[in-house]
Amino acid sequence: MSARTAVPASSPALRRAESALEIPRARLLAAVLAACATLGSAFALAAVSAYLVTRAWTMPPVLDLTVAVVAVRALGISRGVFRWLERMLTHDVALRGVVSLRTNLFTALAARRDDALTRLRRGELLARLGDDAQELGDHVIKAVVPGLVSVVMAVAVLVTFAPLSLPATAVMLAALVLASVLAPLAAHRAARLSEQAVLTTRSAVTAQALEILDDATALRVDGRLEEALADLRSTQSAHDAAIDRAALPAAVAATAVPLAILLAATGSVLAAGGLWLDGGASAGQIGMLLLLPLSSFEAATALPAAATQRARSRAAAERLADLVGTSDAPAPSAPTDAASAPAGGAVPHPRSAALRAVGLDAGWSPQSPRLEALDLDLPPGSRLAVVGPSGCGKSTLLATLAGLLDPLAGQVELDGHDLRALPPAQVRAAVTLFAEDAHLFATTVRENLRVVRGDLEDEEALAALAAVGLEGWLPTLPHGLDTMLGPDGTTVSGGERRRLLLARAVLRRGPVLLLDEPTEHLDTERGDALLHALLAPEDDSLVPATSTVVVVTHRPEAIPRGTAVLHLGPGPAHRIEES
Amino acid sequence: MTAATTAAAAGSGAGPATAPRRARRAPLDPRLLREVRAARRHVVRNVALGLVQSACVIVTALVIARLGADLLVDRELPQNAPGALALLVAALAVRAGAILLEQRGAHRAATAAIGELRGRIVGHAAQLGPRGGAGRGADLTALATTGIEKLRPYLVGYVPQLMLALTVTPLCLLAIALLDPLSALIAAFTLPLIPVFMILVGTLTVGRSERLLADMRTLWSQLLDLVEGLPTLRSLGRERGPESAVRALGDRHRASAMGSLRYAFLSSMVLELLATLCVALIAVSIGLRLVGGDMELAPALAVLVLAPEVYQPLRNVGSQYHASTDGLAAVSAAFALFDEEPAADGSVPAPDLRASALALRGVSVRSRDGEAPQRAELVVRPGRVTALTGPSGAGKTTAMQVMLGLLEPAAGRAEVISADGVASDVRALQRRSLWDQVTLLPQRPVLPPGTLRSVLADARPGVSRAELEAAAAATGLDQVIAERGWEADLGRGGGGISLGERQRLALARALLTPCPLVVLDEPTAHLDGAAEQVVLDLIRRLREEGRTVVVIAHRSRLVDVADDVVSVEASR
Repeated sequence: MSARTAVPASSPALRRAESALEIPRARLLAAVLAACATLGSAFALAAVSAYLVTRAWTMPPVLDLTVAVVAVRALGISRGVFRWLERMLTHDVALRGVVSLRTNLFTALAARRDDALTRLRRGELLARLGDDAQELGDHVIKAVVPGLVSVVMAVAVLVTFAPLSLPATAVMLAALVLASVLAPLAAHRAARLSEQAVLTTRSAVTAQALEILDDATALRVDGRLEEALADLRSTQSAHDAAIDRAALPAAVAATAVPLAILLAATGSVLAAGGLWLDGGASAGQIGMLLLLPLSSFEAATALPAAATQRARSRAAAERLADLVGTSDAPAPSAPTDAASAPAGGAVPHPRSAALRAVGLDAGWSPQSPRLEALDLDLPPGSRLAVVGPSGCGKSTLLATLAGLLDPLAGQVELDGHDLRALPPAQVRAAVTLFAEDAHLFATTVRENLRVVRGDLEDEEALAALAAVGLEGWLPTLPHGLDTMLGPDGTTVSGGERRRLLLARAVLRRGPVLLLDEPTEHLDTERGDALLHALLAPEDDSLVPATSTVVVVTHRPEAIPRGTAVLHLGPGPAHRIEES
Repeated sequence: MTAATTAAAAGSGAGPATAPRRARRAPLDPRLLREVRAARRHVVRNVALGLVQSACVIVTALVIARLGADLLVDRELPQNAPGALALLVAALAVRAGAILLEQRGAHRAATAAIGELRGRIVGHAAQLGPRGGAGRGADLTALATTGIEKLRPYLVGYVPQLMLALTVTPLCLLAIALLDPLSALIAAFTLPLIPVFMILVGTLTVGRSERLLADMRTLWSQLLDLVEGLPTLRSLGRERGPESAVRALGDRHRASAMGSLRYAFLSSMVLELLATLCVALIAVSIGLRLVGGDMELAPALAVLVLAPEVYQPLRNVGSQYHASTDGLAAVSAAFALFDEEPAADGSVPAPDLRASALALRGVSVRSRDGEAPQRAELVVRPGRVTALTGPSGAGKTTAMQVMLGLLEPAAGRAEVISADGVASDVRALQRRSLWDQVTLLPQRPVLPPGTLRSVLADARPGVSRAELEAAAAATGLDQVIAERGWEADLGRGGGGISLGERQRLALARALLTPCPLVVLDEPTAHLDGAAEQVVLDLIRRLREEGRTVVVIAHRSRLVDVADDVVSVEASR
């Protein structure tokens, strides 16, 4: 595997990603064989036609040439056919790999106990599972297969030359090393350089270009557009200089094959002379010695691109390793735990639960806790409103209470047990977080509600939609509950979306419901009414009286009198009082 | 890029845009050559290098053939022909050098062309105003960031090979014709078959592969839907189970992709088939004539070396096909953008806004699904606070942009009415003279780079320290200054401070500027109660100073401080 051994510092992340691709060996072998057959056809065509022409010059009986003539014609056809086969087999292996990789990533993400998934931005998740997984598919197509093929073909070339002339074989070996080892090294260096440039200067260029496009109106009114464009130009020049440093090694890599041809052709011509005069070879063999060096490096031609791809694959694999974490790597074909699949399955639904926070420090990093030393006692049926300035840790608190984010210190207890000690399924059955940016699936309205409870009846769904003020919306839909929603709710308005998410919370009827800004994007009047219904213990139109409800809100004035209010921040400070 | 990666990646990230475009384009965009100097020089250089490489290929073939024939026929050692040997080495070395220059130059040309076009795209889009982004905002940002980078594989991979196909292929064919007309005839017959078969295969597969691509995109979006919903499923405790759906969807996606590729790869098969078959036919024809004694060995060997070289550039062009379509798509998208003329500036200096009113008369602007706003009527009187309200998507911000002459309405007009009652169309006004009197605070504040002090002092040249401190105190910026100091570096675009702090700084700047008109676009979005109070106080202060304030408001407390309230509505 010259492409892979030639490149230094093999990366553990890339090796792990390769194993998560679960490439079936037999299929990979078939793809490599087909690729060897393709390149082998071309090489054999060059060899046999060189033999044919020089042998023909000795004017043997035509019958002696029949085999060569038939072989030349057959090889002329076989290359195209093998080429098609090779591309089909290679892409099939790569696409299978991508499917396995994505499934393994999904499983690993779903199984992660810590907060990786919670803190991941949406675009990032898509980029990892989309582009980076695809990059590793390309890794198979452009790096793994060409690397293996180049080894096989190098051996085939040497085996062809060895019986003709040992000196010519030695020169050919040197030429192959030049084309198959030095060229990929240069290409790999170029790829790393330009990757660095992309990471550093190009992201600055991108950020500035986006800023100008986003803020064009304000920049024009302020008269600062020209200044901003000049700024972009200078950042772009810095990027250009960084990219330019990668151009030379890339060009050098492209020069390796012509130089190898120079070496091999000169060596073979010189070796052929002595051989012919000594009578050590037939005319046909001399013809092969003279002409074959020109056709011996086709496999090596793909290697600089393979090295470039390997550098990119490695970067992608490292990003994926960050995503799934280093300790709990995706175990290839981890068995799926069918028993704990949908909620409402094996884990019984309790009707009420007591949630307590004891000396809780919460935050995304131990260096900067968002809140410190919080004690909360939420017996069954209690109501709590959480308010505070933006960024004070309201969402962090909810994620920690829901067991989706481990506390930095202290603990969250469910019915007296530390959340971390309980099976996740049991925690989820008791405590449910309804995030502000929860996902609406591209399926029917009914299925989008059913995601909270598999056994949902239509009547309940309709009642919940009515409770959140969507009774007038449903009749406007073409197929009622069976209407398909666009991807991530793009076909519903912001207010409708918010109410659908609230309807999920209503349908959950779980013991503890944590809601993040459930009335944002609703008009003030409707929003305040819903907030009141959620927080007033006597109002069971939305949630049963036995359920504990914690609501984060931006509207302290809409909190019903007598509700406990947790004031957070600024900083990690907090206090609880009644509204 | 191979056909497969494009096809299999359809939808990943760039979405439908990555689907192969079937629109036929010239392989070189004439406008790219005309307007981008780096691209033009790149093509010229590649033609020259192509000629050099053709000469090298032909010399190599002739010298090897001569050395071989001398050896076999006359038993003349190559070692005894140092001139010929030197020529062979020189030809091969010059070819390597030409490739080095070609690649080095190609990377440089790509870097220069990308930089130039990106600058023009961003500059032109900004000049076009908000509408330049409307309807294709995502396309535009994608074009300016990643889209235009597709020019690199096009210029580095495709264009040099195309130039080689235009030089090496015909010149080698000519050399073969001079050496052995019959071989040239075989090549001349098969060469035209390549484009013919490629087009044939293309038209046979086009409908089929497009259907399959559409199918793949659907599957891909379903897969993404599951992935995007994973955090939601997890918080509901339902994250286990969908992985089998992920695998099933992935498998269907793969099957679909392979179905599409089966046909896409046919074209590369045809190309390879014709190229190698032709070389084989030439070899057999030469061989049979040599046996009959109808041909010399030297030309036979030379033709045998030259025949594959005729087809090699064509095969490379074929394998770079996708680099070319992606690159050309980016180029034509860029030039389509440049074709949009920005609105012409007016010539009349704007009247003094301290005493002028602004008005919209029946203004409608086309939106994605109708008009927003629709027939907006409003008057902003000098020295008063006017609130624009309406549901989100009603076109409040758009109405404001029309009012300031940033955007051309589909119907109606924006007027500036001076103190003596003369109404002039905003389009006739010199925008700079109008905008110099306006402070605009967008939803996300836009700040120049610098320190807290320099950014604030920049708002009014010659401002005193006391005035700076007063403005800071009025907007709550003094807290930020107490924490970070006056010399805190904000970085570019105020990236060094939080959004709330940026908002305060922008408000303090608005207070300091002498501009008679202050436009605030949802100034309290994402602010808590205390910060909201700062904005309300600021608006009152601006009114006391006799300035005109336009505030785009969502919340009732903002509307309460306004003297005039105008509701903006969209078509339904």
